[in-house]
Amino acid sequence: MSGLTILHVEDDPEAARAVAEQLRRAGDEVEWTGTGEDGLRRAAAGDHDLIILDRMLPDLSGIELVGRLRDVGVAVPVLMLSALGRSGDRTEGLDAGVDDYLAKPYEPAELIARVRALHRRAAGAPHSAVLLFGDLECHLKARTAYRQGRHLALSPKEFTLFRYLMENAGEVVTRDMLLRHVWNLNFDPQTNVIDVNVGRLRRKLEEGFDRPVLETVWGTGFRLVTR
Amino acid sequence: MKTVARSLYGRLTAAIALVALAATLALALAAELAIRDARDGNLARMVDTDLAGLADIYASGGREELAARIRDRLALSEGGADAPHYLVADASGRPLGGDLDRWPPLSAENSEAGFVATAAGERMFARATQLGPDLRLVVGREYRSWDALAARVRNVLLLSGAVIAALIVAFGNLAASRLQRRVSGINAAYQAVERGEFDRRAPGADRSDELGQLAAHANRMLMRIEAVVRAHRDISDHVAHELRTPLMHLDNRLLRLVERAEGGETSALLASARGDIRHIIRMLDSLLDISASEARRGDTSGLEPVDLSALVTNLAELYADTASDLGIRFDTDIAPDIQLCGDPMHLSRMITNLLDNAFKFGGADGGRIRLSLSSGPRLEVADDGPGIPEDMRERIFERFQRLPAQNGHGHGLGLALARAIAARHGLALRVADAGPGAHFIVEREDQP
Repeated sequence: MSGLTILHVEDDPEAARAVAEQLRRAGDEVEWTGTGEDGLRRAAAGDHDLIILDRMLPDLSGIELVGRLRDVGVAVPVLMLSALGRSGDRTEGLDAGVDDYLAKPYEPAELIARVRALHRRAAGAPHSAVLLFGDLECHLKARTAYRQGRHLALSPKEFTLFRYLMENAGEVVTRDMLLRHVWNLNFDPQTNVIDVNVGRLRRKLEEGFDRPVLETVWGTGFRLVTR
Repeated sequence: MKTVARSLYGRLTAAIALVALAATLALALAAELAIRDARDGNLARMVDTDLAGLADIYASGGREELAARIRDRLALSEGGADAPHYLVADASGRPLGGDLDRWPPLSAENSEAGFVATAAGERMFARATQLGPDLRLVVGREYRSWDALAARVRNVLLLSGAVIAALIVAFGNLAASRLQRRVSGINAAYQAVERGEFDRRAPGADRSDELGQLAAHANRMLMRIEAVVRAHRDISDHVAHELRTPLMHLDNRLLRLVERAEGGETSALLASARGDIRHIIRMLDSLLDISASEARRGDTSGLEPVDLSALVTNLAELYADTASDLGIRFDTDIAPDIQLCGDPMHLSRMITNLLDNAFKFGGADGGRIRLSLSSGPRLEVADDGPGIPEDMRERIFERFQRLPAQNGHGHGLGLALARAIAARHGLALRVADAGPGAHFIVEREDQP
């Protein structure tokens, strides 16, 4: 994926520097502003692929900013990056029209993965019936999965998980992303349930085939790959 | 809304009306007794004067004169209210004169007096006396006018008693409904605050009577509750923000060091330091979630209908593979269509905390974990691990309490948070003995 143009609204310069550094290293362009009003103006005027928004800004809360942005018809995906990271805070943010919510402190890889997934979802083909990646097929309507034309027997939950990985094929998907999009949870359980569920799916995707397709990205998450 | 009859005022009005009625009855009884007393004295005086007069006439004029005077008196009093009656008789009781035809059951020798019947069957007061060795006299007098007076007094009193009671009920209800409206206003304000409308106030606080004072007190209290709730929310947000920001800076610097460390022991130490930062934040969030849940106990604002069956099924699916990987038998028994008004994310959190707990302590190979949901709603998570000693079964729900076997695993807040979330939803979380193992039960607070 080529680099994205990202608007970052954040009043803490040190935090802003860190975000900019991480995103630039991933190949993106970052435009930074320290106030909500200025952020709102630039967001409305500019042509950004994505907006990263702090929640507690001195002049305008991130929640208000999103509301006003949506009111004037700006549909650019917004990732809220906030020091308020409790379950209720996340729900509040998402209810206000934010597309994704990440709590500080975060893993840089998590931020990059969320940014990629968010942009892909906003830019992706909306109504394709079949997702294709390498020798994998995901038939959305029939809810069936194939590899090399061979049918894979997945449970309904495994299919949802497979579909989410396919939607983000080639990109890293983190545990938090899977919890939110597959199991609808915005906190992570203490038991390592995600790794076990992904392990199950991996066996079904790889057993009887000579090449692995679902790799674990150490410390971050999982990724579908072709080689 | 309570009806007037069931309210305090209805009972008060009824009690006052009853007292008024009882007082009137007592008054009527006292009047009756006084009238009867006056009547008896008056009758005795009249009869005795008459008797003495007739005895004098007999002494001076003899038997004929006596008979003549009795005839005169009878003729004179004919048609009067309280008619006199007489009987002159010989020693055997044979009538010789007067209007009575039979000697009454009164002893002449003892000059006995008493209430007896007349020839016509009316009641009278009479006295007998011995005039000579072979002559006896009875003088009696009826008292119908006295009884009529007593009846009139009785009727007047009873009627006015009934009117007074009716007026008390009517005015009492009027006053009661006005009082009730004012008290209901105060109650409504409390109920609104309980529902989470913290800015509601009781009406009528500007009036100077007792209810006005009560409303003013209520309002001062509600204002303080509102202030405390707002302060709690602000402090929670600020604590979270002010602590997270430096921790985030710290984490960013550690991350830059990780990038330069190129593996080895330094990298491991830095990674562990970053792990500690996450642990602190997780703990902080749990503490804030616990106090927020406790503060909003009974407050139903922000809750929505939740399909608990679907929610529990989703979590059961999430944990099922882990159980089979660990060699644990994971039995689920989830009744369909169980609804609860709640916060779905918090309810999920409560259940995962219980499941995490079961997998951590009951999760040995060959073990068994049971998750069930039945109507009520009643949610149960049971394991066959070592269980929880009886004296620890309440303490494990306190913050930072760990079982000795826990050896510092976890932050000791999972069960405290689960209980706080349950309480926020009007549910109670307790632990029972699964013999062996731990058996956690969530059900409505009013269940035994």
